[in-house]
Amino acid sequence: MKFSRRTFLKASGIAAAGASVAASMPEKFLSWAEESGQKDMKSIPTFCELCFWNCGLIAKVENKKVVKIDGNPLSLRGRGRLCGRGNAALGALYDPDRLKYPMINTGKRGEPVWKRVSWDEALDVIAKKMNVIKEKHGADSMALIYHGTGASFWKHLLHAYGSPLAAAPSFAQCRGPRDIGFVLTFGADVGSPEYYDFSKSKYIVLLGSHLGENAHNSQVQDIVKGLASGAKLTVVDPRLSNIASKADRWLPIKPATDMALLLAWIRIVINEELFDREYLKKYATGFDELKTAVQEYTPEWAEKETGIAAETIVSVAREMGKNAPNVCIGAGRYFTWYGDDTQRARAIAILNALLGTWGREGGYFFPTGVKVPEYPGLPAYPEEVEAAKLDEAYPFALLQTTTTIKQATISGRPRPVKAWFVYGSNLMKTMPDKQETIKAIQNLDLLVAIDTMPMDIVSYADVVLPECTYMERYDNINIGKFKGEAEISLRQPTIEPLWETKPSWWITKELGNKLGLSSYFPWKDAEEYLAKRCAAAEINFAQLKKDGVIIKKGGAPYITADNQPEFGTPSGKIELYSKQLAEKGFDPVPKYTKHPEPPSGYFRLLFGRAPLHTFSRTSNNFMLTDLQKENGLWLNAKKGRSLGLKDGDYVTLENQDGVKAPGRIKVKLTQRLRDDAVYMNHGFGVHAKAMTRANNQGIADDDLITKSAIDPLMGGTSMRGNFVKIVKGA
Amino acid sequence: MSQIEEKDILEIMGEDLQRALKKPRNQRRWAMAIDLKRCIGCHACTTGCMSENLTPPQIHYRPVKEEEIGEFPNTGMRFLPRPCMQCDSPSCVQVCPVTATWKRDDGLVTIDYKKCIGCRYCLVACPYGARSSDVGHYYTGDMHKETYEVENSGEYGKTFRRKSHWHSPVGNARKCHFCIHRVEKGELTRCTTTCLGHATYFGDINDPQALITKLISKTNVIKYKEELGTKPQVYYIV
Amino acid sequence: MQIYGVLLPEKNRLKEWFSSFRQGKAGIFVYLAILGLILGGAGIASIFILGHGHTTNTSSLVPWGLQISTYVYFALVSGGCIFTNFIGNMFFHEKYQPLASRVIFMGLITAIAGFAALASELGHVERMYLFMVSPNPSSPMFWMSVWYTADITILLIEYINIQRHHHSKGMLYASFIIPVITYCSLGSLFGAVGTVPYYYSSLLPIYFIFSGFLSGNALCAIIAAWQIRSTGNSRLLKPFQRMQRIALASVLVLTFCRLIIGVSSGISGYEVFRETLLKNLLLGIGVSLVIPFLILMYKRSVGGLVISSLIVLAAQFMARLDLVVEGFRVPTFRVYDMPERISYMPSIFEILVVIASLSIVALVYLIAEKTGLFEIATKESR
Ligand SMILES: Nc1nc2c(c(=O)[nH]1)N[C@H]1C(S)=C(S)[C@@H](COP(=O)(O)OP(=O)(O)OC[C@H]3O[C@@H](n4cnc5c(=O)[nH]c(N)nc54)[C@H](O)[C@@H]3O)O[C@H]1N2
Ligand SMILES: Nc1nc2c(c(=O)[nH]1)N[C@H]1C(S)=C(S)[C@@H](COP(=O)(O)OP(=O)(O)OC[C@H]3O[C@@H](n4cnc5c(=O)[nH]c(N)nc54)[C@H](O)[C@@H]3O)O[C@H]1N2
Ligand code: SF4
Ligand code: SF4
Ligand code: SF4
Ligand code: SF4
Ligand code: SF4
Ligand SMILES: [Mo]
Repeated sequence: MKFSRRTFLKASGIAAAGASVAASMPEKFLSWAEESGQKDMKSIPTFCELCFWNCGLIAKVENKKVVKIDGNPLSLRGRGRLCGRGNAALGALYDPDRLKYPMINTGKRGEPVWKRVSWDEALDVIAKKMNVIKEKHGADSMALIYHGTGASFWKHLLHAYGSPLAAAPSFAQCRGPRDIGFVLTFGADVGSPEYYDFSKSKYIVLLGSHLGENAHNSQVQDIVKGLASGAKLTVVDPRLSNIASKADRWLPIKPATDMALLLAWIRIVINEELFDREYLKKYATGFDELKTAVQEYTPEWAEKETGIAAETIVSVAREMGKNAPNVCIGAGRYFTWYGDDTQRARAIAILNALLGTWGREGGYFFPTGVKVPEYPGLPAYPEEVEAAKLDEAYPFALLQTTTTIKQATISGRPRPVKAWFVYGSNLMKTMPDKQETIKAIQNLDLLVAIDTMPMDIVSYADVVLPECTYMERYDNINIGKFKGEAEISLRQPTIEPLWETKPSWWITKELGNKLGLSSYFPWKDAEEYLAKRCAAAEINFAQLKKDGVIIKKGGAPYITADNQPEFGTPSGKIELYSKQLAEKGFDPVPKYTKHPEPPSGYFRLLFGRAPLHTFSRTSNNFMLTDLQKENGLWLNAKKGRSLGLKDGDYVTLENQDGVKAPGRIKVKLTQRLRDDAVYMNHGFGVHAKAMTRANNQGIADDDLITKSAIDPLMGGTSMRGNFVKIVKGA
Repeated sequence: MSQIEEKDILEIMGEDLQRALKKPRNQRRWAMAIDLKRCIGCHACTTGCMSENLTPPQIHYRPVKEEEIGEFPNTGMRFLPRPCMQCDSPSCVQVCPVTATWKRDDGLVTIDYKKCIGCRYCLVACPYGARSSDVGHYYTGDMHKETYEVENSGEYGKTFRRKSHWHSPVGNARKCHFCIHRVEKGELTRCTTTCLGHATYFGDINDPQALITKLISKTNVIKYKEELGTKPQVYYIV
Repeated sequence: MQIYGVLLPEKNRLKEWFSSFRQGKAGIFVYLAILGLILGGAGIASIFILGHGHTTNTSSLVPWGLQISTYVYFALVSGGCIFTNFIGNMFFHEKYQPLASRVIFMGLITAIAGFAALASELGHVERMYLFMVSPNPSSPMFWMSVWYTADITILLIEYINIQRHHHSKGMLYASFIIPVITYCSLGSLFGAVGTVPYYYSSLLPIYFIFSGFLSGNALCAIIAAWQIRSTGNSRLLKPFQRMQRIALASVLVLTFCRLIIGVSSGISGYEVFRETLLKNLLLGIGVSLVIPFLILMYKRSVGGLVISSLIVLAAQFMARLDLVVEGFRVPTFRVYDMPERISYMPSIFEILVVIASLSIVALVYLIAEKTGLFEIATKESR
């Protein structure tokens, strides 16, 4: 084992090579003698931030420059591998368009005139404004909107200042409903990285969830492993996604009808008694109520709704039943689709529960966690003054939503929000209804953007704080929960920050000092902060720095006689029927609601991930734009031809509200998509001149998402209810 | 297959590699196998290769082609990653007027960046489009080129700085070289180690014990454009 | 070896020309050619200083473009001159004789001009010595270089012979055989590339020989016409009209065969022939071959010959570009944002290379002509 671990490390390009074999190679044809290849390189482990999967990577540094990178084989999130985006770290680090200095906007929001200032000046301006806002409106009129690992120091600052309003779009604009749906059913969410046991599954069902394009590193590896060991796969997607092309069954569902399919499946599983009787008896409640509630959802009815043949629906349900409990009906990740998303998550959870997949091999495993205590001796955060929570209207918003922050900023109700800190979130493209977002922003007294790139949101900021990239900084400890093991991973600088950029730990500490909050920032620097936290958790910090990742083993992933599950629901059981929902006036068992369909001449606007990009985050990355610089408009080939369109034609788009998206987009005629929808990659159509490669490339789905249904349970904003028509000639 | 899955394939191939390196070079035959059933079209190999070999704009040693098969709703997809095939009868080598590109005794088709006159005949002759011409573009602009772009990528285990005129790949033909600078240090090719689909296999097919040798003898294998007589050494598992 | 009077004009004629040149009386074409040479030279210099990436529009997708096609064009013209010389000598004897030294001289300078275009294309021309140090006998390009060198040498010897009236049948045949081999090897440089269906054809060497003959002959015809105008020697007209007709007819047949084979073949890559069929029929055959032929038939004057020849020269130039570039129209491995069909437009720098090559030919020839280089030989023979 010792030997093979070494070979493994070495084979992955990590272990320092011993005597170089290359040196002893006689070159038959070369008349000239050549010096060795590359000089000795230092290898510094850290982890990737081109998406939230946070895979371990190793930077090879020569002369204070990162020249190459490799995956870190110790990382459970990547297992030595990096995805198409992760490999483009140098394109992020060395982007000449990066934000370089703190700047103050002396013009208007949205039409900025930048003044370059010193850090001291920028932070002074912010601190002064914050003090005024605190005095006038209270500390909790300040909000933080964030995405990414670096945000933890900002949350700390915000709480120390006295506001609870920290919200991530990755909740209310992404996986929030999924997590809430599972919490309502199992009393626990599915985690991130998710606890899908794909590599052991015998049968996998994916709804949407286009793995491979959405490059969740280890998850992709798991599903491919599962398939290679014989798992059967069914993919429900209006579009033949990459993973659908690997599936045994592709069900090209009519968009917005997944709930019908799920309910029909639940009915079949119940009526044909394919469920795990013993499991349900032991762990679940509400079976009878569920049974009665779903009787109306026959396969024939579902066929009419979804466009999927009734026989196919029945066959898939039987296949699930046959393979249960080693079945994983994946809950995907991006979930804010049509407004009844939490209920859709409930349906998925219920189906999994019926088949007994929770805590079973090949279903959902129980993760192994690890606790790292807070930095010792920090003062408590000030008591929150204001009692009224912004999210009161959405009783199951277990986390603060961006949705209500935006609403409160516009209306001042239930209380005013006057300042936004936006960290690592390109809000202009992230929230639905851009005009509304702008309206909110115009109501602010202060908008600070902490970013690495001059993205769309940056031009709306009053003050811009240039953070250094993930390759140049320390961030907080990162914990990943996996099957039978957990990982603690470290982000550390591989080179000094370029230009005048600074890491968040430094910026927040300096700003904290200016706000008189220095007692909350007692650490000398990030290294000392991290070392202390590690010491408290008995983690060898020196080793962590050297390896980048430390693995803690333990924890049983599956239900066994002596590993009995606990459910964090009010009843302590799996709630097939949810009393708490009923009490708050919601459907205790999911119901089907018909969503509007595109009027004639219009297509439903669908969007998803490009394998080589992460939203707009990578839109200016020169390695990635070299492969894909704009998005295309996927359109059913037959339909497209009937409209007189050719592959490669440029067109413009207009939505149901008459909103025209700026820019133009290239038609991609395809056999991979239904003819009632168009599809595009999200993240393109950036409108920011300083992003020289990304500016106005392709069309932004977010420019066309003016309509959004809000999930009444938790405030998630659905984004697939918009319809577009194609305008030829661009 | 399941046996393979138990142990990480990188680990197995790493051991294979160590064994191969103990043999004299002319007894090794490097080859690659790509399992098209597993390739998920993530393009990680493409960018992995770009970052390993610091290739300039529009030069991609390992692009992944996406082909649609059939008509909606009976649509299928094929993802076809294409490194250099390291052909046994390489047409690129045949046409190079100055033997700047040649086949080594371990089968690897290499380019000598100090000999290539940049005539591009090999680009024209390669049936796979595996060769590119480095015309001296940089990602980070002409005024401010980042060190990593002008410095040495270590290709072929040699020093070729792009900014230098005499020792530079600029003006030359370039292509995938099976990461020989890594392989001879005992590291697998970058596209192998970064492949999310676990679809890329590398090793010495003269070694009957090697994972790749077993794979290509047991599974259904095709070679790309084999009819042209180039004898490609990249095996596609279908 | 005698240089002045054979390779160069006599000293005093040169001096005379030079002073008239300085007085601005050398004729507008000379000054134009010089301007062209300066511009073209600057273009070539820029290519080397700024790098190919910033100056040329060739790429990995279109590895060869205008520079290579210009090279091929001049190489073929040069070969064509030799055929003209050979056929002229064999069939028209003394009718043709007065033009011989000019034709061979033209063959020489076009070969050199072609080389200039080629050199400007290479990523590392300074390494061309490697053709000798580490040759690759299996490479058509290597053989092309060998025969090209031999070709230039033979031309030089033959030229000197003509100038000195050392006529030898042996040299005449050599000056026929070697160019044939050279142009066959140039043909196979393209024709042997199995991977580019547009090139891949056993017809290509023959096609090259005849298109070469056609374009070389057209150039010689213009020289002949000039001679007819300036000396009134109208006996030159017939041989050139006849040779041009033969050349046009054979190229027409060959082009047509190539097209038919291309269009009817189902091999992938051959779709280029189908897609460009109309263009090829209209421009490649109609305008380029049929019209000059008709002009020759119906306008049997010197003017007719000149117009027909000019059309041929221009059309063959385009035909060479078409041949080289269309081969890359269908991308070998289409990925990412690559278009389905690759298009290519030469950059200004590439066009400057053409101007440089043209100007070299024009300038050297004009000087030679104006300084009486070719008269020396004729004078001696009288
Ligand atoms: N490369 C890359 N990977 C990423 C990201 C990235 O930006 N780039 N982003 C990451 C993030 S934050 C997230 S949340 C995840 C998101 O990744 P997923 O959770 O996989 O996102 P989905 O929306 O489920 O998947 C989009 C797919 O849903 C299909 N779809 C659209 N409408 C419907 C419908 O009505 N029913 C069904 N069944 N399918 C439908 C689309 O055709 C498309 O194939 O990806 C993550 N991974
Ligand atoms: N229309 C539409 N809207 C969507 C989606 C969609 O598909 N379509 N997807 C939704 C989903 S799933 C999610 S998760 C959200 C995500 O949306 P966001 O929360 O906005 O997250 P990103 O797009 O990743 O954020 C990108 C921003 O982070 C900056 N950034 C990158 N690295 C760093 C760093 O190291 N430090 C700092 N300070 N900044 C950095 C980038 O420059 C950019 O401004 O969007 C949601 N909104
Ligand atoms: S999945 Fe890719 S982009 Fe995301 S962290 Fe991992 S390597 Fe980076
Ligand atoms: S794939 Fe092309 S470049 Fe590679 S060896 Fe074969 S012919 Fe040469
Ligand atoms: S470009 Fe270089 S390697 Fe290719 S044929 Fe010419 S000299 Fe040989
Ligand atoms: S073997 Fe190396 S050079 Fe070849 S494609 Fe893979 S990573 Fe690139
Ligand atoms: S990394 Fe592997 S799975 Fe991804 S595209 Fe390349 S070969 Fe396919
Ligand atoms: Mo997300």
